[in-house]
Amino acid sequence: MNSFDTNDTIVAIATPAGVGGIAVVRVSGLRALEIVSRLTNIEWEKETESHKAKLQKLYSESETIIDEALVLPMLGSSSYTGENTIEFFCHGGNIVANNVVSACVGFGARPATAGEFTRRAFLNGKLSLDQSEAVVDLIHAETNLAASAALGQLRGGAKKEILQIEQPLLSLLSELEGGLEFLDEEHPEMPRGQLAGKLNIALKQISNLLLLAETGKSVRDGVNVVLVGAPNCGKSSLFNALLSDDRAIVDSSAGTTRDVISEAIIIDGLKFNLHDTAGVRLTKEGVEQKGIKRTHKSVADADIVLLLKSQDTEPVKVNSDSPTIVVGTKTDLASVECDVETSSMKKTGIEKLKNKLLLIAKRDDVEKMLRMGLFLNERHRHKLQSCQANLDDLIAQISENKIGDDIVATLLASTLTELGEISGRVYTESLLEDVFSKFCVGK
Amino acid sequence: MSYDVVVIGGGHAGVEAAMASSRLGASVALITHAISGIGKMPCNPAIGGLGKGQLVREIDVLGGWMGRAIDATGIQFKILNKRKGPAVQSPRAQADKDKYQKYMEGLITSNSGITVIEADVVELVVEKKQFKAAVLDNGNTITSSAAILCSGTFLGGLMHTGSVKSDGGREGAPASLSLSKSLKEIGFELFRLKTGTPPRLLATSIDYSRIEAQPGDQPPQPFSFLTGDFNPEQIDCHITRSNDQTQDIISNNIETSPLFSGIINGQGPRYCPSIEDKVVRFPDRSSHNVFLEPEGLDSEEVYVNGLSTSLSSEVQQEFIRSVPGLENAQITRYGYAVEYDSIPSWQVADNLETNLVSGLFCAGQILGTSGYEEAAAQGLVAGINAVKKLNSESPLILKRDEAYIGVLIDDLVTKEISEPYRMFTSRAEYRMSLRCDNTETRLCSIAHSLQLHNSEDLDRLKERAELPGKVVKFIEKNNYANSEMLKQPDVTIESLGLTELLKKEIGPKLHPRSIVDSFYQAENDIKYKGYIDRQHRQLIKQQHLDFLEIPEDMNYMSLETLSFEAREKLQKVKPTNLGQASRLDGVRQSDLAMLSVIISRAKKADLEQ
Repeated sequence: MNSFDTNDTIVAIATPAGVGGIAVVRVSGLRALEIVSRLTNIEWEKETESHKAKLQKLYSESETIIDEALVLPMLGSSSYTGENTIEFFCHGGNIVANNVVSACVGFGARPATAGEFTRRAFLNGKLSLDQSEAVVDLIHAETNLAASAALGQLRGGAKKEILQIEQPLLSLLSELEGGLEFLDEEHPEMPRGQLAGKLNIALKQISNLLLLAETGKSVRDGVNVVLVGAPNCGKSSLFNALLSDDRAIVDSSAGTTRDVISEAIIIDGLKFNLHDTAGVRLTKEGVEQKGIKRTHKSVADADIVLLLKSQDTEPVKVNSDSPTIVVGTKTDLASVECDVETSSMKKTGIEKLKNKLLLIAKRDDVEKMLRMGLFLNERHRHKLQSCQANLDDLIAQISENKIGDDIVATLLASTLTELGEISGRVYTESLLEDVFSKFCVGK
Repeated sequence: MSYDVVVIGGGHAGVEAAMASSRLGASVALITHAISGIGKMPCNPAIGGLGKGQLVREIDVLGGWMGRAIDATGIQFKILNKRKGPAVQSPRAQADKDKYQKYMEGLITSNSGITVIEADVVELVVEKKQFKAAVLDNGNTITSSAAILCSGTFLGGLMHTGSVKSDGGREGAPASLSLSKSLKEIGFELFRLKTGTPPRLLATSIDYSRIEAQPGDQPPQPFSFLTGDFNPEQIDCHITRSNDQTQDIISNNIETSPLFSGIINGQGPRYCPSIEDKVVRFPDRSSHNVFLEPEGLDSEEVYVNGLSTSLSSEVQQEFIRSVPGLENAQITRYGYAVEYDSIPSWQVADNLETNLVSGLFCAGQILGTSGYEEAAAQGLVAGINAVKKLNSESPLILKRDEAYIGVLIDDLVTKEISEPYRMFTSRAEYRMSLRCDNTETRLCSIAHSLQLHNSEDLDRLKERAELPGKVVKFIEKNNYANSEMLKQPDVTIESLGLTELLKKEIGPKLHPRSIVDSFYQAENDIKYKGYIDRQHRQLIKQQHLDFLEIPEDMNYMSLETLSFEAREKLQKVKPTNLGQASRLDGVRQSDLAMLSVIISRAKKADLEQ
């Protein structure tokens, strides 16, 4: 089956599996009206009023009643997919909704694959590719910030930003082409300095977006904070103190005591994944050795390292390129040289530590990102990095006067193609497979 | 009277079409108003130019005549865009237009396989969608299995100078009014285009002492790979500029221009505007270039490139004299605009045969193009394909990555042409590999399969085509560092001191100039290789669409999942493959995706049957 196939009609349960008040079944495609007509035993036509729900009895192929449900037609280009769509608001639970799906399949629909509704929205020109990706982000958002960011992008934020880079580059390209198509007397060549200047502006814009792509990652996946310190230096106490008010209700996974323990907290809307590591100590004991290995791995993946120090333990050293906060613990007992003094007993210094975390995680950039309506992901980042490298290379070759305008124009055109892949202005089948495989069925 | 192929029109398309068909063994009738009009240059006395020079080089390698004709009759030769990189460099030459015309006339009239008939075609006879005959104004009927329509600007031609209108395709030549009617009756859709030409001046009335001379290149470069020793007598062109006074005269009299008084409805070329267009569109730019091009070595007339106009003769006289150097200039012929009927080019397939009538081919301005070179390229292809059709052989279809001619015809078939179409290098996405310098190498094997050249010439072509590859190989083997050095912009085979060694080692029997040309191509091949590879990797994704053929009998209107606009466009154009469909205006990516599914399904169903 080809996922580009939009000739047939697709059906899926759009609500999560399990017991609930209602379950929504969604049908989209050419035969949606025909299928709903068979299902309800009344005629639904193109002239049916769109976006007006009706309470209807639903019948199976064998004419037995499956359910009495609210039927909502959304017709033509006004639907999410851009094609005729019917939604059935059935009674909850798996049985009824599954029966409705089976009946639809009996009447000619095909079970949808993951992300197929949104893919159709993209193919029908309802959403750009980055907007489609925002839909995934919205579904998977774990914090309000992530949801706001996804919504911003869904409203076209990233598309707009990319356009602001694309447009000047396009006019630069057409000016270059003009220079190639007409004689010098008619169309003087653009001075190389001016050309490089314009490319530099685009490069700067791309670099700025890349910074915000980092922020996007923090908002989407959370900031990884790893607590490291000698055994008994108070790691677990600090870990619990940080958790006490802000423990996130998501993502809880625990290991053995010697394993890395992870919990998520939300500070000022931003998710931080705290990882409590095994104490770093030389030991012959196998389990602990393994734990220490894990510690090093955690440190390598950390966005921020909290290096704990207390007066009564040996200081440890970690090798990490990530920003590190030296946290003094048990400072109610004895003071120690550090960035932040804390006492888990007396609950002092915890707020200060949180503020430091927010500062390093660039919480301020999140506001900027939200204002711009951006929520860039790894794919966008990869494309932007590739454009950045191309432009860098191009500017270097121009300033060394290595290439003629014919090559400049060609290289610029290929950079524009890559930029176009962010919004989906330019796409290939494999790109779409990649993007839409991240969806759940029914969306 | 009966022939294999009848060519209607003796301009640049008609000449190449007739010569190609005849060479491939067809008996040919060429119908034209006047034998003295064969190969005539009714507009500028030049061949080649940016994008167009590439076409002439390709015509030459494939076996057409334009390159050889201009080499024999040119009076100034130049390579344009020398500073801007080899991929956008093009040759251009001023022609002695009378000699050029005589050369082409001689080719046709001395060809025993071509019968020239001086007449006007008034009707095309079509039976069961098959071309049958052309009816002439003298009452005769010429029957043939194939026809090539190369009627230029003559179909429904209407000339304007100020408010004075006259029927005609070009100055001094009548229009073909009945033929338009006949085409409409057959079912063709026609539309109006417009083009224009500037006044001609008496050479002796121009004060050259006041304006800058523009000499030709020394040594001059010919177009044709067959041209040997080349030392034509060259003369200068001149450049001057219009000024505030010109601007004022034109804006004060703009209402006398039929372009602005609403008399002319045809769409003109935006990139080749009349002076009144320039004045209106760029009111802030009071000065425009004016190139003075002699129409021949001994010609009394000078072509005023840049001042194309349809203003009244009084106003033309006045504004011409405002230009420095032209204060006392005498106009020998006034400028005029000409409106004419064209066939929207989506009505032909990529072999240039019309979708509507089997055996009827079109070439040149009738399909909405502009320029001698574009016309000649189509004429050559149509002439070849008319005979291929008669012999039930597969047509010559050049791909976009093979030749500018391929780009030209693919554009015609897939794009909505709303103004006269001229070639630009930016139309070619494979521009870096479609260079003038490598034309022989690119098209050698196709030329061999076509057999338009005689075997001796084909041998020369092959030697020239293969030399650059040998040079690159030798340099890489001999001293790899040298081939790395050659990637630098200013390093050449000459500057590395390799010229004599290469000549000795490879020792071709070619003309010394061809050897130098081959070295230049080898240098460019080395310099461009990295960029071309990179670009082709990106374009390869697109290209695979070109191999997905669409069944001929596809009924698009029944494919309801396609957007209505796409269905209409696809039904009209009937693209032969998915790549073409992807280049149609109004066909969205989503339409393509669906189309690819439909095609693969149809293929599967075929296999299963």
